[in-house]
Amino acid sequence: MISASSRSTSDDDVLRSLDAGPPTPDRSPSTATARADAELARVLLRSRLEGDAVGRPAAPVAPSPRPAGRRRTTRALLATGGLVAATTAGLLVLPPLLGGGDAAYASWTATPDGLSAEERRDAGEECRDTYDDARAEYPQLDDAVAAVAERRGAWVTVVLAGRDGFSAVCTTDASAPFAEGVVGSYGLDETPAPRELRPSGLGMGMTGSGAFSMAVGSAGGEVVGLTYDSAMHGTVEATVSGGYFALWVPGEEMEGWPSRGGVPVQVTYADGTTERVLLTL
Amino acid sequence: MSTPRSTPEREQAFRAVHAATSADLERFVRRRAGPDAVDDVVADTYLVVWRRLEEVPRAPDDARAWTFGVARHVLLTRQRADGRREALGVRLAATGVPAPGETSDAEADAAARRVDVGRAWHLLSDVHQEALSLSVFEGLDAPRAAAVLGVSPVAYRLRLSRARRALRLHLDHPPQPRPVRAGHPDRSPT
Repeated sequence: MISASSRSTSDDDVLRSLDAGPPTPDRSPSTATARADAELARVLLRSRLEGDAVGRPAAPVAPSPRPAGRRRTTRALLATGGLVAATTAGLLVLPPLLGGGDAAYASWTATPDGLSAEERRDAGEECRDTYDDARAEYPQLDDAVAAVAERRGAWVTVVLAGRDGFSAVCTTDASAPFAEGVVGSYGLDETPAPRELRPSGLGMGMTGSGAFSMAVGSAGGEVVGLTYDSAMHGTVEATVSGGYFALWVPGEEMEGWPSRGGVPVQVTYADGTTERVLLTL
Repeated sequence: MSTPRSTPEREQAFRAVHAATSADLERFVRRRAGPDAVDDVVADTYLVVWRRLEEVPRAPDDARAWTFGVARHVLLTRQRADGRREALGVRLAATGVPAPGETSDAEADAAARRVDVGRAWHLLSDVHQEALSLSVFEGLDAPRAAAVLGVSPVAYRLRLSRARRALRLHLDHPPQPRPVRAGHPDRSPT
């Protein structure tokens, strides 16, 4: 005779074979760390963007360093694909590189290359398509143009700029078989003063190729050049074009910039003068 | 868990909780939500974890159960938004019946058994599915499962016992197909 307890055990065994949440392969420590960092970055950013709208009253969160008198409207994040990572300071969310691609950013260059007119148009359209779901909220997307379109090795960065201070950022590994691996954020920003830089994204993120650090945003009309002295990669030249700037480097060096007061860059103005400033959100 | 005084400490505490819970939390959510919702529910859960970090239990097993409780709340909130009642059913994987001749008799029997259990599972109430899942799939003991559901351990044990009995009842007495009578008003004449 079969006892009730042994039948329960048998039922349990059959149920386990029907588990809709089967075990996942063990994650390597580095993968687990990257996922934890990405989740942390995401919750920090959401906490800032959403306030206390979710869950019970928030625990105290360190205020983000934002100079008095500066206002920025909320930027939304884009995450396509499965692997998500983000920054600790309002930057971007990122992509899955599904096989292939530029491992460890081997092709990255400190000085950006431009794109041909055709490449620029294609990259802009690809970026616009990436944000298709945001079109209802941001009709400015429809006629936004590629203010920045640069290539650093296999990686193409586009800043689409439109009316009302709208901008959308896309960075893709053009060598990856699935171009939907996109880093991005979009939203509205106030017009900067002539000699002002207003980052919309600043900090560290993670892709399938590893960590990267990025600064991207709008630039005043008198800003014609921007460089960043990377601890790892030497002087890195930004693309400054159409009222926007963008630069990024492999690695984590911009992580935790608030504790250092900002990301130091050297700005060149139209009159030939230069100035060292700290980028902050 | 003590209250971290500085942001770096708080961030480190969050990473520790994430490392101890993320894989199992994803599985927990996957069993209860459609695949399209998993990432969002997990993200909402960790947002709550961040905001209530001081409340997360120190022991990894307790932290795991605590995050399950948060995720359950997130899922129930989403269900309420969808106009559904307050209960959390648990999904099973597809049973998949092998075609005759493709497998041995033993494999065919096992497959048939999975179909029977799957059918019986779907006849359970959401409350009973939940109670069984926390024991069978999540592997929680009664105190931790009770904490997830917000009930006492005694109440959970009673609920689990009834769930097992209900599953067995459905297995031993599967619903019989209703005979179709000639002239049934729901059927059109042929």
